[in-house]
Amino acid sequence: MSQDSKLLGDSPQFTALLRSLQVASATDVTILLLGESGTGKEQLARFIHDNSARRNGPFVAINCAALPEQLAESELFGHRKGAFTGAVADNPGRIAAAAGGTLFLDEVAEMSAAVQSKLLRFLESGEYQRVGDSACQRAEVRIIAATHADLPARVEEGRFRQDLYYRLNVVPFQVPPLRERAGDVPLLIRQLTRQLAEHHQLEAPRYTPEALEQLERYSWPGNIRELRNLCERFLILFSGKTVDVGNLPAEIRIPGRKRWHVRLPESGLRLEELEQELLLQALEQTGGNQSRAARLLGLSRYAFIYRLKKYALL
Amino acid sequence: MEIGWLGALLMGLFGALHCVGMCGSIAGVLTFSLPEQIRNEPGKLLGYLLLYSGGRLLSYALAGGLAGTFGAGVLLTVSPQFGHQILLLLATFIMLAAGFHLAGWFPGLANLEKAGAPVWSRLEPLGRKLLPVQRPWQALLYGMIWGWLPCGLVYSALFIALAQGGFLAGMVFMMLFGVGTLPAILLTGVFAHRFMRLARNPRIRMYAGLLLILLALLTLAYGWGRSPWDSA
Repeated sequence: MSQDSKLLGDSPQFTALLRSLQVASATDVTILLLGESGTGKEQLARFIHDNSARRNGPFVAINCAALPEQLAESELFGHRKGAFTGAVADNPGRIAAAAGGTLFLDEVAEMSAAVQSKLLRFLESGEYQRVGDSACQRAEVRIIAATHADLPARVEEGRFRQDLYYRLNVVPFQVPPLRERAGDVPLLIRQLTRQLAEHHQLEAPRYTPEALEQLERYSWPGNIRELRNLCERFLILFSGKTVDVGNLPAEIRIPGRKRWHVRLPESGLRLEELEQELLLQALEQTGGNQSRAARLLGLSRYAFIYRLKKYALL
Repeated sequence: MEIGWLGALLMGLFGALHCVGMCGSIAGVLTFSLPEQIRNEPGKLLGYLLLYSGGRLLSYALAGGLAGTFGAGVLLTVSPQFGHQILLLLATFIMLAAGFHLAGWFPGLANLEKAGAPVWSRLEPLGRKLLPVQRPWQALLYGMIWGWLPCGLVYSALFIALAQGGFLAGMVFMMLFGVGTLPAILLTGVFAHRFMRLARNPRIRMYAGLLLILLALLTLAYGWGRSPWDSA
């Protein structure tokens, strides 16, 4: 394994994945990385690129979920000056930027139908058109796609094109979640803490063996991203030098305590509206039984009714 | 057929579910990196896939032969009287461990793979030079290199090959183990995603693991009173 791969993990599950990706990197086959959010799919895509014959070419990553629908097409395929309001200059697009290298399409399941259809054409023929341009462009690009979504289910629901799915799903690789990577948590904590300490120019805290053991037992629903955030939080906010079990967040310290991972929309939300929605859903689920609905939300019947009255839901 | 050999075949057949994550993806990469004119002709494609796997089986057979020789030569010198029983117990123990591993109750077996990492780090760059495969001999040679990919299940089978009594028996054992892996590996090369979902199904893995456990106990019961050297 290269030094780069050592940075990522040392568990049998993960090294097995790296070995197969190493083989894949020696070819030009389209790769689909499947796995939960935060498992490091972009780093793995970069690993494939860095080990491939294209390593001297560009590596261009694009997060399809982060692109507003109206911008996605011009961002990926480019546009001509004047193609639409605000197109004040030519934009070659990410595909052109990745020519001779690798294009990493993260969260590919979130692509709009229009972009899916253009991407399919590009995958089939290597040709594409910039927005506002009638001429065809060609680019020689290796595609690596990634998603945490259940793509076959999206296909069945009609939200993802079946033909594009078959084009992308040439060789799928399952990226293991952190909880399945035995022994990687302590290793990653040490490496991430060291890297972050260098970055922030702060002294790295130590973790007691008991704290590391507790951290390894935790299920890490947010995977490496969550682990990295925790390391950063301890580095910046923790005033002591040694992190012990008692210093860990409650959801890690107390087994069985759930942590909810609700993604806050970029446009934000009104907490009160969310609360009303949960109150109504609890009532719906229990057929209007207030005592059971209150229990579902961990409230007393009195507190539940108080909230219903507060929002005029009663 | 010898129950030990049937065991090898079944161990490969059901144990291969464990390999789908790594070897299945490699099979997919090797299949889809073949030139289009080969992929478009089913006969030619099957030929190349069999060459990849044939190379892999040759490596298994060589390793099995060496393990068989080692088992017969060294361990029987240490204890000619109880050597067979010791090796059989070892083989049963390893097969049980593989069964528990497959069923998801003993993830530690995967640590065996670390033993083969130094060999693989030397062979992988040689394999890289053969890709993308264009000629049949490249497929066979790449398959031979692929056979040395670190794999807990292959190492378990090799431990059992120690108890087979000699070069030829060890070779046959590992060859049959490799033949058992063929359906899974050939299928994943073509139906990668569907097969990966099936192989990740914990219930299917549990049944396959239980079958290996049963097989290990049967092998022990059948082989305890018999010595492979008696018939040799």
